[in-house]
Amino acid sequence: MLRLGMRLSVGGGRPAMVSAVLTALTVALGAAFVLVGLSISPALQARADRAAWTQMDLPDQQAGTSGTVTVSSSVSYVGSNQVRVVTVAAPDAQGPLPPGVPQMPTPGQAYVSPAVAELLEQNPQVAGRYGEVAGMVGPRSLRGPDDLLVVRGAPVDQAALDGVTVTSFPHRGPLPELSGVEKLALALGSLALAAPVALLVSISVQLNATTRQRRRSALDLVGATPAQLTAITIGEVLVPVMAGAVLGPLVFAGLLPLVARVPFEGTSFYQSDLSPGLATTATVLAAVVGVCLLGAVAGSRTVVASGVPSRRQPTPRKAVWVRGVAALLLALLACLLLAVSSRAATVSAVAAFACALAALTLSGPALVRWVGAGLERLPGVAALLAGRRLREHPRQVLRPISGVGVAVLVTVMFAAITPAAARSLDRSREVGQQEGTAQASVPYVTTAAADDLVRLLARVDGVLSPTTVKTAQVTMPDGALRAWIGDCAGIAAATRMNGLDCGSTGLVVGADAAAIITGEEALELYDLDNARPAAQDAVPDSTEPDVAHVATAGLSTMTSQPGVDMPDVIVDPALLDIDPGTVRPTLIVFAYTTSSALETARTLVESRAHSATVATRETTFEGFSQDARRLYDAVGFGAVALGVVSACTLIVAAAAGLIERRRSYTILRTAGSRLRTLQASVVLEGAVPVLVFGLVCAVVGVAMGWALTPGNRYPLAGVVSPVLWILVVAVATFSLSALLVGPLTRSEETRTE
Amino acid sequence: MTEVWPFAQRGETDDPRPGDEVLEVLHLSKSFGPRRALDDASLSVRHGEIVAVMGPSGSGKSTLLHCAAGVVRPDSGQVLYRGADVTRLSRDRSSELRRTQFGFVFQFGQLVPELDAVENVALPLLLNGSGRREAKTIARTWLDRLSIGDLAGQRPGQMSGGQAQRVAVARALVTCARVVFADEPTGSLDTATSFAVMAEMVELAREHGTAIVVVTHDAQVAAYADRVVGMRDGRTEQERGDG
Repeated sequence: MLRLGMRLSVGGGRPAMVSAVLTALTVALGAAFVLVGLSISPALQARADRAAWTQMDLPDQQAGTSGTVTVSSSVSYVGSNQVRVVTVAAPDAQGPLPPGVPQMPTPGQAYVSPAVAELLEQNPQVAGRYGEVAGMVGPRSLRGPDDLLVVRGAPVDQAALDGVTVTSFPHRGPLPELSGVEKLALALGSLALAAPVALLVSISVQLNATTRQRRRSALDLVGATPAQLTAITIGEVLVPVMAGAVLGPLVFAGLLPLVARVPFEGTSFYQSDLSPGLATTATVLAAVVGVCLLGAVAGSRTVVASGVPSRRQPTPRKAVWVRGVAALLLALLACLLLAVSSRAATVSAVAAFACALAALTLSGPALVRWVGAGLERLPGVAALLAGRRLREHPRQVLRPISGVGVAVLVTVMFAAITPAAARSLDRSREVGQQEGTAQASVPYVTTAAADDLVRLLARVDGVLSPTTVKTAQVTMPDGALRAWIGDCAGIAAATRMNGLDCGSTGLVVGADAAAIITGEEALELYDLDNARPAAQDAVPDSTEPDVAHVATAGLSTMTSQPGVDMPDVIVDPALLDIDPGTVRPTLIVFAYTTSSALETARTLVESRAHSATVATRETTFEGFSQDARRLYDAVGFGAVALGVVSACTLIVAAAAGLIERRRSYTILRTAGSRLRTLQASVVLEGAVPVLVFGLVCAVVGVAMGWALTPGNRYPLAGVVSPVLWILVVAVATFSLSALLVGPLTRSEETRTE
Repeated sequence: MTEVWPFAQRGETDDPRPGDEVLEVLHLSKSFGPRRALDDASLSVRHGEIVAVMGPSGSGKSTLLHCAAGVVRPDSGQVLYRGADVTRLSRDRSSELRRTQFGFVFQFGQLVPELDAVENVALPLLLNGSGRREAKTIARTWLDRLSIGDLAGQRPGQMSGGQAQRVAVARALVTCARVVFADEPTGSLDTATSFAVMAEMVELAREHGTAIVVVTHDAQVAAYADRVVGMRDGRTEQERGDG
């Protein structure tokens, strides 16, 4: 029977071949989209694995031991580009070689990634910042082709200050931790993407359904058993579906260059990372084939034997009512779940979204029927034909437009969720630095070296008022205050702080902090950094103090400085009850007038101070906004994928609908209908329901977005434009598809079929 | 309870004799929504008998035929084929009955457009488990007997209406069916072709002892029948004498 089915599928001439090719392509596209989705996680894991050696936190040996390597990581900036700098040091050649470099860099030598090499070429001020460039870092250490990574050499004692010493490198890295809202966005996005992909796959087996149903009816009449009919149906779709399954990985390979370009966490992907694996690929292809065959069999089971070409079992009126009640119940359940999800339950939010999707799917045919009834009342033959089609075949009409509906629903919903989620992730408001000022973190320099740096910085054109700062914490009953110990006037000039009046007492406290310390006779400062830099885990030198006190008498106040990078208290070193020389500075602050001056200053500091980073308002903002940017990256990627899948669904379904009805159009033309009338009816029967269904989905999406982000104002203005675009593209697709009516009704094969 | 299958392949056992009733339709009723298509309709067909069912459009002729053939399930009543109630058969049994005992000739659409003439005729044999070569050989014999052997490789879309109906007749008889159900078999043909197709179908049926139930509104087609049953408003009327 399988053979008979295959014989039937290839015996239909050119139209059957066109349908088979379309089926194969649609299955291939569906399979490829699923493979793309499933390749993201392995790609992120592959990235994490290659970067694992730069993010170690557990040493297994003492620094300097033979056969070890010490690794420390820091961050550098070129403009707003974040460069990961990994400092490595080995006492001998017995230790492991960092992946991606041909040999261990000696102190002063560096290997850079191709993207960093490009940055160095474009920014002469950066030359020498990381040492002498000895070669390139290979892909084995890079997260992506445009990853910014420097592997530089250093003496062991320097790297050991904040490094980890190991005898081997880990091969498995942790995946990025997802926050609650990210998990919610990811879950909703996956569900939203799964719906049109499932639709696309289901459409693939419906392409030649009318012809198959006609055949099935004839075969049923001559006595084919249900089992034989099932086998024949499978045989009919097996060849194109299998061809699609074979083509799927090829389409996936064709999509890879585009998908790999999508930036995530600052870098695009290596194509080789985007591999779901052989077992997953085989499982996906088997599942797609299985779903297609099941869909074809299920669809054909509703056909019954008849003397007329094909007769479908009519939908009982009772079933229509059941569907309506189910849709209503699902909508109510969605509302209930949304009420629960406002208390941040991801599962209930996803369930609410699924219920809303199901309710829309169930009520869609009734909506299309209702639109059809309205169209029928309009004047003109085209409106009558379109209206009748909508009323008689609402599900077939709904098929191409449901992908558009999902796209609209998701767009308007994420338009509300994403900014709210980003606001919850984005800590950019905590950045207090002024524009044109910089803070150079120099955690491991001596006082003399810091003073030297300040002198050198002062000579750089465009760098103003550099000064050193010793940092500490102030003990408070409800937490700690940030204290900067240094010259207040110098700090004021370098940081351009608002409302900073240094006064004459040498102790300046922010207004908020001043309210807390009222009544305290002295402030206790701790976390002072000893004059001699030492490894973080080294035992502190007991001869040097790490606590100091300052009397509060006569303190002056300043405007409270917002931001975690700004001080609550500024203390003149002379007021400390210890020798200030026993404490080393860990911060150099300065102002700058040009980006060139900033880069020169960065090169100066970072090339002389281990693990130094020069931060500006822009880079601190970038650092704090990483989670938000990651969310935007993911949502952007999902939106593009959803748009592509929905567009494919729309185009395939619109074309397939016309091919399936070519005989009806031919009869209508033979009966004297004008081509323009038929084309108008095609446009009306596609465009009107897509607009109505799209608007209903938009309203549901707005409601869901509003409910999921209570207290936030819905960004209605930002939603109008993308929704309009989606609907305009959908209407344009239907308009273009109407042009097919002419060629299809001219086909000689249609006449003789 | 295991269903007992009473129908043997033709020639194996228990062949009916002339005069035996092979099909008995008893008090059938069938409604489509509010419309009552059959209302206590009854009909009997004897071995090798040719029965014409005549009546105006909408009188329920085609519904009676479809119910009698087991294609449509009636709301009430019985269809007894050699003693077994066709209306109570499972889908598998009903398919087997249509495949081995019944044949169909309808006005449109019963041929599979993707298969050529010989494949269309061989279809019931293939579904019945015959080998491809054997089935095709038998099918060619039937096409030759209907004088359309030269059309063996042509598809329905490449044939005239009369040729397509001859292929349908060949397919209905290829399994040596005991009853052929024909619904307006000449409705789309010109007069000359109608006579030719009917004559060939009746001749072959008589040769093989096959009964024919033909639904028609054409008195000249009904003239080929042994008996004419009238229908009006879903009811069968008095049977008119032997033809």
